[in-house]
Amino acid sequence: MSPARRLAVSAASVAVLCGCWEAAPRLGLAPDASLPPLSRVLAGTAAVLGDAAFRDQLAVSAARWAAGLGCAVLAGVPLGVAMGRAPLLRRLVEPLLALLYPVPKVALVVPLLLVLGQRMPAGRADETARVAVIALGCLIPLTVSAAHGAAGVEPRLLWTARAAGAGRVRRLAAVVLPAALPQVLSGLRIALAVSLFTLVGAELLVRGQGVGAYLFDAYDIGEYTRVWAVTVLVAATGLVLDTGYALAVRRLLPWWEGEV
Amino acid sequence: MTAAGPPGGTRPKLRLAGVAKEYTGRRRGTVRAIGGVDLDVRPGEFVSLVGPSGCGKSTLLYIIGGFVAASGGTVDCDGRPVTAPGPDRGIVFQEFALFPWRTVAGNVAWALARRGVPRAERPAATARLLETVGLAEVARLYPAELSGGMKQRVAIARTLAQDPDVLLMDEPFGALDAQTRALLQEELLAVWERTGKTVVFVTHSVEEALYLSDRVVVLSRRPARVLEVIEPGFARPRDREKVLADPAYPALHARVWELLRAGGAA
Amino acid sequence: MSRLLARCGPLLAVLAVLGAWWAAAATGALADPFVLPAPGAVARAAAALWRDGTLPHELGVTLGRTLAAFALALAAGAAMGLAMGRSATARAALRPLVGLGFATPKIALFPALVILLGLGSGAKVALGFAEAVFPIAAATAAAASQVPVPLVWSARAAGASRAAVALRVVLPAALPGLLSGARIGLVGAVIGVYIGEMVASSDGLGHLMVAGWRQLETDRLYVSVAAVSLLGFALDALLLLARRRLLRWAPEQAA
Repeated sequence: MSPARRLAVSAASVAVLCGCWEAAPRLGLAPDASLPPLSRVLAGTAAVLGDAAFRDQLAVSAARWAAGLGCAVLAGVPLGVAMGRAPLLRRLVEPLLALLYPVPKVALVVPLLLVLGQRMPAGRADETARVAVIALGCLIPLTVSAAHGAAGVEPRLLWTARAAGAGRVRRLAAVVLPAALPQVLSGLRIALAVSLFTLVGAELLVRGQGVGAYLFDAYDIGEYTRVWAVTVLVAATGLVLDTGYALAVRRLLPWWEGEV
Repeated sequence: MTAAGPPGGTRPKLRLAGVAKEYTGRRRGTVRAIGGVDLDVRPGEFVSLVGPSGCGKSTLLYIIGGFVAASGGTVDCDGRPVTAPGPDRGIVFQEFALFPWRTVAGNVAWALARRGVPRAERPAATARLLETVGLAEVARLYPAELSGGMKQRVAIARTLAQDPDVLLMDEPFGALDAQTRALLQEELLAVWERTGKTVVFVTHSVEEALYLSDRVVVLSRRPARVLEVIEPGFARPRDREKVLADPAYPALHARVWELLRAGGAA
Repeated sequence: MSRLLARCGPLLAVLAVLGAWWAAAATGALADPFVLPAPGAVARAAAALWRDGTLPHELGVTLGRTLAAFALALAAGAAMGLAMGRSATARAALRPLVGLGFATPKIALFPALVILLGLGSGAKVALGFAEAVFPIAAATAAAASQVPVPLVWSARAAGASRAAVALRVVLPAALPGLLSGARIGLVGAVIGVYIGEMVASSDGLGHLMVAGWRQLETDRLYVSVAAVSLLGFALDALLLLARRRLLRWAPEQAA
């Protein structure tokens, strides 16, 4: 199939979906009040974007998200690389991560804020708990993929570097890290999705400020168009981040042959 | 056991004495891969190791490189025991082992930097080395954009950049098509004649070993031992047509095959 | 040493977590026992909740929703994945949807799902489904697109119809990929259902958690988290077991 034809089919498929969304409430196939037509939702999205209150909430959420994801990257990637190069450490830590895997990390926001609440004022405890669960949620994919990447370095590359006279530190910096980078980045892609899920989840569960809270307030007062509008915005954010990631990887790793 | 000493009295570049390797597997107990190999290699000599597949000839090369520890015997390079990899022994693998995240020039320049070549001199030195292997035009490409033959040329240039006394080559042309292979053999001989490096070359091609080498070391099936050392003795610089047309060639070829078959039966 | 460690790793991990929890709770170093009860207290609370029928009921509700979400996701994801893997048109048509579904936080859909489907099981099953379906579709599509062409051709040459090829050749060949997607999807379904129950529900383990928190019966909260984690483990273990049986023919499917 030619690229032009592929694009046309993709566009047609999206158009059909949007058309169904627009038509269903208008034809009375879905209740207009709970599923507003797409055009009205998009108009709502524009209104929400123009709302200064929403922009404040968005800034709060963005700060939380960046703090949580940043902590996870700073802790998880070095830990994963260390695990990849030190089998004993890996054997010790990997079962712990496997144990944590099926635990709904977002739900841990509640016990965390209870425990933290004994140490700090309530507002700060809530905030710290939210950032902590985001970090916790992202930690596993980041660590596991960094460990896989660092463990899977072609040994002949390391031999070549040793033969050329590269010491331990240089081998880590010049061979292990670049070789593990594609895996680290694919972990980051999963972590991006997990971070948004955990962010919105934590904000829905423990209401305070943030996009999740804004979304829920709209739900509480029955402004369903606004609910849909914010949902569309959040979905678009996820898509933009993911696409931006793919573009960045292609620029960053021109040598990488695999799929990003 | 055949002690394979060099003809003439010069001090050997490499001396292998009773080199043995055993693996302890989980299921099958202890496996003897190499059963005591003695071998001296003169400075500037081109020596090939041939043997049945799986006989441990690559392992022997890795032991000389210092990548794998022998479980018995010693390897000396310039009279000093080999315990770890060192810049005096460069290695070229069948699978190229290029850094995929560095360009062709980047791979070569990296090895120059390890040798301590100042940053300002690296571009010129890189260009010279790539010229040597005929790759001046692709300096800015990544390994993934090259053919197998070009990749192996880059790997050879990178190893030369390290300026080792000894070149260890692990079936370097085994993954290439026949034409590219012949071309690279000729280029390798030209580089070797120009630089005077000592080469230890692992191959399973009898033709390749006879064409390239001063001496062909024929190893037995596991545990590998030296069955015989053959000296082709064709005139240098070598010409493929003349080697193949040499009246001594068929007999040498037949002898190596006979040894390989006998070694297999033993 | 390391082999021993590999075998005992999971057990050690459980012991380490329980030990750390117990140490933190018993010494009161982190927080007082009301906020962080010891493992023993939580186990006693779990036993009491089991006897009075609360825990079996909530567990059953959550399990039913999870299985419904997973079964729907498995059917839809496998169908989408097979279509995407074998037909360029289907791939072009479905790719934007799967891409969007993969990248967006499905939880943001939950209020909208409640509006559409109400406060009953529907919205929770839908959230679990949304969490599970995309990994399954993506993994199946990747595996189906790599089915060796000669395999398909020889089946076609033997007279198999397109549908028969999809069902009898492509599906089994793509099964390893499908099942690794299913493993991710299953945990996603558990978490989606549970979070849905936490946000808005009157039953299920998620509700037990939030009720324990709101009514300050913190041991219920911990019973709920432990129960849902164990549920996730048990379902994952069952799936691994099923996978081992289904993939007996595949030589390298141990991991």
